[in-house]
Order: sequence, then C-alpha cells, then structure tokens
Amino acid sequence: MAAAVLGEERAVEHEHPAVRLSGISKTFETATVLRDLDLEIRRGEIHALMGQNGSGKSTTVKILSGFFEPDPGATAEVGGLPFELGSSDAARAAGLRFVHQNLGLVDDMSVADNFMVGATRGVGRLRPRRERARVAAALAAIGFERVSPSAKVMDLTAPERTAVAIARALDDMSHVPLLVLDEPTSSLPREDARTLFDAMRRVTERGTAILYISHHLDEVLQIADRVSVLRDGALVGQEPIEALDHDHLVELMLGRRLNRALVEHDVPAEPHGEAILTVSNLTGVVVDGVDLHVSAGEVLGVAGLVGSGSDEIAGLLSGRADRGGAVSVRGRTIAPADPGAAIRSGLCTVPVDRSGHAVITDGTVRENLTLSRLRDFWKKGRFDVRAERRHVGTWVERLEVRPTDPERRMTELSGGNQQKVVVGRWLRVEPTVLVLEEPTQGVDIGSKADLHGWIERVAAAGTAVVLCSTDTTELARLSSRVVVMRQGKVARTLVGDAITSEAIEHDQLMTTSGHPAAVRPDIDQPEEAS
Amino acid sequence: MSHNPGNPSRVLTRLRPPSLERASALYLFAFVIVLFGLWVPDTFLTSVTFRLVAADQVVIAILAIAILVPLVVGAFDLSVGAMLAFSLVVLTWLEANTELNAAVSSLVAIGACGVVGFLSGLLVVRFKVNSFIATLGMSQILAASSLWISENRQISGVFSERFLSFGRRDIAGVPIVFAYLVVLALVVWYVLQATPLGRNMFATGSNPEAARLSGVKTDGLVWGSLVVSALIAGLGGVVYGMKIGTYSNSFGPPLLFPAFAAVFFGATQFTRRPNVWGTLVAVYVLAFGVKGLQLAFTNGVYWITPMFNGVALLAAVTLASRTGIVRLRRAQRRRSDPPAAPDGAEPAGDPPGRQGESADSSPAPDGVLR
Repeated sequence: MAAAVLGEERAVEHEHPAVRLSGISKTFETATVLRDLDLEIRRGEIHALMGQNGSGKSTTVKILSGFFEPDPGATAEVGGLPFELGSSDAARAAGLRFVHQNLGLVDDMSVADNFMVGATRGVGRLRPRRERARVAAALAAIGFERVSPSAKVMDLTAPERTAVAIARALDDMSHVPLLVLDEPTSSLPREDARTLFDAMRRVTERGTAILYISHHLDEVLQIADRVSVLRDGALVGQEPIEALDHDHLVELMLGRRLNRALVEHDVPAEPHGEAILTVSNLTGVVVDGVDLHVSAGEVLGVAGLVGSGSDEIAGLLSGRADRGGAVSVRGRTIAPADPGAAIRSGLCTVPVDRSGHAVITDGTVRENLTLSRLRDFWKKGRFDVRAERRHVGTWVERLEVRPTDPERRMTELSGGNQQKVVVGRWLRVEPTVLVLEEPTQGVDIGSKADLHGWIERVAAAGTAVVLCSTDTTELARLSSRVVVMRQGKVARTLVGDAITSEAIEHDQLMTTSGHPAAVRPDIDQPEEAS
Repeated sequence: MSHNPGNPSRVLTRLRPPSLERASALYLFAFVIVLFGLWVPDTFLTSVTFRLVAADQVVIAILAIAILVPLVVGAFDLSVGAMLAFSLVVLTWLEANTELNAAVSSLVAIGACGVVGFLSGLLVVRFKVNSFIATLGMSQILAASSLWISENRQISGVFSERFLSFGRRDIAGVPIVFAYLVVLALVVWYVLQATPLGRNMFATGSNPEAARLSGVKTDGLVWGSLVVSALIAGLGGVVYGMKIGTYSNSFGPPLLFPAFAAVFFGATQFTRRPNVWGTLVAVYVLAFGVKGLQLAFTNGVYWITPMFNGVALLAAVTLASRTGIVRLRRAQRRRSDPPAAPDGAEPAGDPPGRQGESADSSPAPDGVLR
C-alpha cells in the first residue's frame, strides 16, 4: 500500500526524468561487463537499448531489477528521488516493472488468475467478478479488449500473451514510472510483434517510460523515441531516433564501418558435390519454408539472432519438434517428429540443452557414450561388457575426457567434458549427417578447441555437418557455407572468403528489406507504422 | 590416480569390503544373524526357520520384482497388489467352475493380468496419464473385479494335490517356491543388467527425453514394462495359489507397501539404482529381522513387523542419500554457474578453477575413502 502512495507522489514530478542512472559498472571476478554507464530515460518515452550479444544489455536490466548489485560508485534516481540499486524490493517499491522474454505466465491458468500470481495484496478475500472486471479494464487500456479475463493463457496467441504480461506488470500501481521490456518480441514473427507496438504507445501515453531491449533494428527504428547503444559494456551512443538510420545504428553496434564490398559479395548457394542432406520447405514455429542442401564433407553454418528461426533448425531436423516439409538423407525420407527414424537414417544431433536433452543423468560416462548404438556389443545373445569397456576406453582417450575413468557418473564431469562425451556418442557411430546445436556453449576454452578439431575431422571424413551456432567466430572458423536466417527464412548465404564473423553479424542485423534507405520513411513517422 | 593394473593400491581396492552406504543391507543382514543367533540360538539358527522365512517371502519378493521392472523406466505400478489377488481369483474360479487343466488355468490367469497391464500401458503411453494415477485407478478396478468374481467369499479346496505339490515340495532341500523366485530374479537381472534392452530401460528412467533423442523407443519400453510387471504379479498370484491353496479377499493389496519398501530399500544397495539383488536382499533382511524379533519376544509383539520395516527402510535411504545429497548440491551449484553469468560475460571458457573444482567435487577415488 505504501508503495502505491509513493508512486503517486512520484507521478507529480514531471520535470524529472523517469529514471536516471549514472556511473554504473559491473565486474564479475576478472571480467568487466559494464563500464561507467550513464543512462537517462525520459518520462513517457520509448527508449531502446541496443547492442550485440554480450554488450551488457542484460546486465543493465538485471541491475535495474535488483538481481545484480552494481560496483560501488553507482547512483540512480527514479522520478527525481534517489533510488537504491541492487535490491529487488526497492525496484518493485519504486515502480520499476519488468516483462522478460519468457513472460512468466502460468499457461494453464486463466488470464485473471495470472494477474493474481505474485500480487502483493496479502490474504484479503478474492472477489472473482470484480477481479475479472478490473483485468478486463487493464487489458482494454492497452488495446487488447479482445482478450477475455477468463480465457486460459495457453489458448491465447503469442502477442496476446505478451500483452497480458504487460498489462499485469502495470496492474498493481497507479503510476509505473518505468516498464522494461526485455526482448519481448524476439520469439514472435515480425507481423505479430507489430501488433504490440500500439499497446506500447498506449502505455507511454499514461506517462510511463518504456525501456525496450531488442536487437531488431527495424522494430527499433519504427517504435523507439531514443536509442542507447552498448558495445563491450560501454555506452557508445545515445541519440534521438531522428538522428539515426539503419547503417549508422549497425555501425554503432558493431563498432566499425560497414564494408559494403565484403557483405554484398553473395554467391548462389550451390553445394560442392551431390547433396547428402536435402531439406525442402522446412517449416516450424518461426521457420518458414527453408531449403538446405549439404554435401559430404561440408560444414553448413546456420546463423541468426534469437527468434530468427536459426535456433529451431536443429530441433526440426532431429525430430525433437514436429515440422512441416521434407527432410531426406541420401534420398531416404525421414518421418517428422521421430528422433529414432532420423538416427536410423544416419542423421544424429547434439542438442543445445545438454542436461535436459542429452545426458543420462544417473548414468556413467561409459553408459552415456555407448547409448547411441548398443548392438555393437551384443553378440550371440550376450552383451560383451569387456568389448564395451575397451571401446569406451579408446574413445575417452581420443576425446581427452577428464577424468579418464569411464565409470564416473556424468554429473561429476565439467560441462566441457560432458559435451565431449555427448559429441562422442555420435562420433563413434560415424553419422552420415551430424547436426550440432551450439556445440561449444558453456564449454571451457580447451574443450572448445578440442571440439572444433573434431568437427573439422568428422567433416574431412565425409560427414555432412550442420552447425547451428550464435557464435559467429565459430561459424566463420568452421563453415564452408553459412546461411543467415531472418524471420524464419534464409536471408542470405555466405560462401568462401565472404564468411567472416563481421559479415555474419551484419547480415543477422539487416532489416527485412535489406535496403537501409527504405527504412527512412518509417523513422520520420514512427506513429504511422503502428 | 594411476591406472597401472599392477599398482598394489588397485589390488587392495578390490579386496576392500563394500561400503556402509552401498551395502547397508548386507551389514544389517549380518547383524541380524549374529544378534538373534546369540539371543535365541535354539529357535533362530535352525533350518526350519530359514526354510520357513525363505518360502514365506517368495510372494512379496515376486511382487517387488514386479514393481521393480516399471520403476527402472521411471513408471510406478501401484496395481500389482490387486493384480496378485486378481490372478489368484481367476485361477480359483476356473478351477472351481471349469474342467480346465490347472496349468492352462494358470496361464489364463497370468494372461488376463497381462491384458490389464496392456491397458495400463495404453493409458500411460497413449493417453499420457501419469503412471501413478493410471495404475492406482486400475488397482481399484481390479479389486472390484476380484470381489465380483469371488462373490466376496473365500475360495478353498479347489486345487488338486498335484497342483499344490508344485508349491509345497522341496528340491535339493530348498522350498520349490524359492527356486521359482531365484529363476525369475536371474531372468530379470539378466535382462536389466546384461542386455541392450536393460541399458535402454535405465536410460529411459534416468532422462526419458535424452533417451528418446538418442533413439531409444521410450514409449515402447514404458508400455512393455507395465505388461511385464502385470505378468510377474500374475505369476505371483499363481505361486501363492500353489503354496497356500486358498483365495481370501484380504489377500493382495496389503502386500503392496512392504514390496514397494523393499524395492526402494534395494535401490540404495550396490548400484544405487533399482536392482534385482538389492531388492531380494532387502526383502529377506527385513523378513529375518522380523522373524528374529518374533522369536525373541514370544508374547504378542504384533506391531513389530511394520516398525522394523519402516525403521530399516528410512535408515537405509538416509545412509544412501547422505552422499547423494552432497553430490546433488555440487551438481546444482555447477549448473547454476553459467546462467548466473550475465549475457555480457560470454565467458571465454569456464571460470578459472572450474576444471579443478570438478576433480575435487567428485567423491574421492574409490578405495581411498571408502
């Protein structure tokens, strides 16, 4: 209750910015991820915070929300009043609200019940009818009156869910000075994302400022009033949107001038030899009609930002998720959503979620390694454990798994060593096609080099490799061809010398049209677009 | 740690007795034998006592193996107690009302259980009903069927002497029903421990999604394990019929919890997974403990059985999870490391010391501390 009163007091402080941060730094052990950041977010504006992966956007958000404490020397004001950073209670009391990418909704509860989750109203009696009316009003206020408070969240469309999360974030306080939207649209198709822009405008009309975290340039150019760009933990630009265009923004984010000659170098996507893996019209949640051909010995890199569909490809190919379109290995068609069928056809996948999708948690290194094909050791009605141990011994040695004892439980190994075992599980069966999904994420630097060596070797041995990664350096180093995805489609294919980490990053960021000039009319009238 | 096979410390490792955490049941077994051997030597240390306990526990042990099979793939089967009674009631009804040969009747009874197990599997695999709930519901339906078929009456005197002799005689001085149990245990042990099928079953129980993505037919394993569980429980009913010869409506479901307790107790032994020999040792150590107490206190300590079972189960699980808990905390801490790093950290490899920590955190090499 006290918090609400405080919020109203703040509402009258019109002349102050909604939030002012100064001298914010954050150091983890040896790595400084945020350096002396000053940020001013004005009342009622949509302020975009941009930057590549690892530039410090999320750290900034986590400091605002109180999840991280900044290094000493940081100061902050909310509505002109001093504000203590690094405490989630203080952030909540001051009226800072956050909607994260995963939205934090309970899928099988109704919209109205979701509003009650985590509400700080104590144990007073619930009045369902009154609650529903209030929730309906909150949704109508941001233009989503079509969402019924009694509908279950799981039955809503993706943008409707986001709208529910936004309305809920604003619900318990009469004036919220700042709403932080942390990549709320990154997993939405672009057209759906635009339906939220109207909701965002309605929020700012009430005087609430929005800090909009995104790496989609076209969205930002359309909706934002001002843009702050972070690079390597430092603020490298804070400009009104009118002063920016697409190229300027990309340059700020990447920290270098674009080499047009380099990125325009586009070669038709011809594989080297006969395609072993043929994918046509692949369709998933975001992925929309992707064709791929990979030949023996080729490493095809799949690049894209979060939400571009690149993170979905491996799941669709492996049968982890249901898909549309046709996938065939050596002309043999693979049924969708059947991991066993993919493996039998020689298409093996190392998934990104190691603990959830790859590791047999209670199993030993030996059991995890041989799971891919146990019949190798099944001879005449007898399981030859000795042969298995010998086989595992040689693989542990070749993969340089540490500790070397194959009877260790998998959970006793470090992430890098677990990953070697998971990769080794498929290497030992000599797959026709090897799909790798972020193979070196969360892996120490030594294991990363080892794994890169294995990817090169397995390709040299004639396996067709599909490497889905957000690590552009890794892609540039290993790929013989890279497809860059945007909005569920292959936006560009890079071949040969054109494959550089810079070129991939640039293509990931390009707007839909690919012509920076075409974006300008939108910049001039951001209102019109919504 | 040296891997030289001639290293004397490695040889010593093999000679070390099993650790208390891994084999608490064996130590308890030894303790029970010594304690009651000294306390009531005249009655406890006799072949009569041993034969009696061995034979009496066979049905519970069979039931425990029936629970064990689906538990390995991560499914609960709560219907096995009622299944036992169902099998027996079908068998006695057939014997009482038809001219069928007893062997055929037995197969029909076991087959009927298999059909019920198939239906449970259908619910669990196709309709995605939680196995705990599906088999709980199925056990109620089975109990109702048993009451209906038996008309809620005791059925006795329907078996031929020849049929009963298959449950009451000895072979080589051992009760024949115990031999049945040993054969069943050997078969199940072989499949679980020494075949690719068993390995895939353990993988499914540990991480079903990872197993499925590695090409294991997890649905089929869950379904099949429920059918096998039902068949084994059906066999238990037939064995009980051979041994006791009578159906009464109090038979079956009350055995469920002791059998479950034995499986969980057994899962703490030897391999730290549900396993056949651990289960059997658990069944018999509890039985001998109870028997000893009954012989030592001759005047009516009716509460001793559940008390002893309960204390032993809790003690064994606590001992086993002590190291398990430490390991779990370490695993959690390690897992929470990467997400705690900000997206900005983009760690150039793991934080320093991570490699070292993983070597530290693993329990000391076997043979040093254990």
